[in-house]
Amino acid sequence: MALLSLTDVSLAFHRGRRHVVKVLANVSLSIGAGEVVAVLAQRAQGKTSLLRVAAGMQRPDSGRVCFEGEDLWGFSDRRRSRLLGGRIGWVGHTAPELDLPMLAGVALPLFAAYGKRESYTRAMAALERVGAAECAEQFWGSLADWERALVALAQGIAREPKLLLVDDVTASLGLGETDALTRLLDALASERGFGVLMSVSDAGATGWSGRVATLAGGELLEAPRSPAGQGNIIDFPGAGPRARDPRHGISS
Amino acid sequence: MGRASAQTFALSAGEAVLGLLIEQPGNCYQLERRLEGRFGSAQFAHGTAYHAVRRLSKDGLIRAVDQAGGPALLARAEMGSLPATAYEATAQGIAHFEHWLRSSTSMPPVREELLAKVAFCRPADLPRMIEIVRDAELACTARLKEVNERMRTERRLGGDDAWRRLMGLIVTASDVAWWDARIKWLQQLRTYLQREGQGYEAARGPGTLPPA
Repeated sequence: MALLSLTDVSLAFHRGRRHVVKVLANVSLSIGAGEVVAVLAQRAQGKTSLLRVAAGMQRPDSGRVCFEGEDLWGFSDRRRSRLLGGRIGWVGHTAPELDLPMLAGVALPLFAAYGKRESYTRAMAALERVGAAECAEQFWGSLADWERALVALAQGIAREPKLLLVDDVTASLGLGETDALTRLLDALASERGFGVLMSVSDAGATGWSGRVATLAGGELLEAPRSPAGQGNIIDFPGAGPRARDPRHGISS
Repeated sequence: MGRASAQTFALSAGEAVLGLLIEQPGNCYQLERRLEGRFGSAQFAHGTAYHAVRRLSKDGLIRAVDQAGGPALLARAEMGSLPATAYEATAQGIAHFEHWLRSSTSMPPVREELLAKVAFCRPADLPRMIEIVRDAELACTARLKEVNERMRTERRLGGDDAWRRLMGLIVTASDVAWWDARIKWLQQLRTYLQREGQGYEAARGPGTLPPA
């Protein structure tokens, strides 16, 4: 059973009477435990909306969103809201609402579930696991982009989610940092067995994702999955190796 | 090899093989594998290293090591146990490679088949054209996955040469950036075609796109 499955999900935003912005058009996607799926899209192409739909934060106009086989929109608001931040983790790039030291910031959302003491222990363990222990006493404003991304990741994994939704956290990172963060995500997904749906605006952030899809004009396109152990090579029918590569352009 | 032509922007297998032999002598089979590992995205055809070796030998840029009396470098083919000739660069080959390495590269001409198709696209062709762009986008995403997979394999295997590893990472990042740009260009092209198709129909009434 898929951890998360989206079936024929559509979403549009109405702007005035006549203008409709199509964000998702019959999008279908499923993610299993331990899988890392990167969705590559440019700005304003619905990356965050896709993640919000997957998290149960945004109701699609049509289609089904199931988590562990259950339709998210069959849940009560309370149950759906408990799911987010519990079995579904969210990693974003926005500043926290409260200006607290990072350890307290990561621990605070855990209080209701684990109590104060256990929450601090879990928060510290998460910060240590992502390599951001030294940020524990720092405030958001004093952190570099790279440290902010690590703290956001620690926040996302602190409750040991089954599914982690990662919203373009690499957008402000450099080449090496993006590589390190996505490699860490891949390692965490393997180690803890959670699925990852990650939106990215740069293909450089897809390096450690087992699956890559693109999103534009509401359409989600995913490259065919490779058979196990056979690499990712795809054949283009009726073309020789040179002709297959678009860099070779028109034959002279 | 190295002569001025419309194709000089493209990486020549000759220079790539010569560079690999300067780094480390080897036989054709090993060269074929190293070529794939280092320049996988170039998609050299099978047998490229054999042809390049023949040409480089003929031009005096490389020589067979066993002919030069270097038994320690006589490699054995990894498939089967037939002895295979190992090659190394000659002084002339090294000089040729150094000259190539330091010369400026030329700008590739934009000879994009898809753009030509769009240029000739008639209203009736629009739905098919959108499909073609979508297929190209999928194919590029598959190629991006392939580059990523190769990068992961190389990184997991590791190596002890830190400089070569760093250069490898930069080459992979550039390769990925190329596919990134290509995917984004195709996404934009598809969006333009879809939007303009809708605009065409809106201006002339629904169902006005003539049948293909």
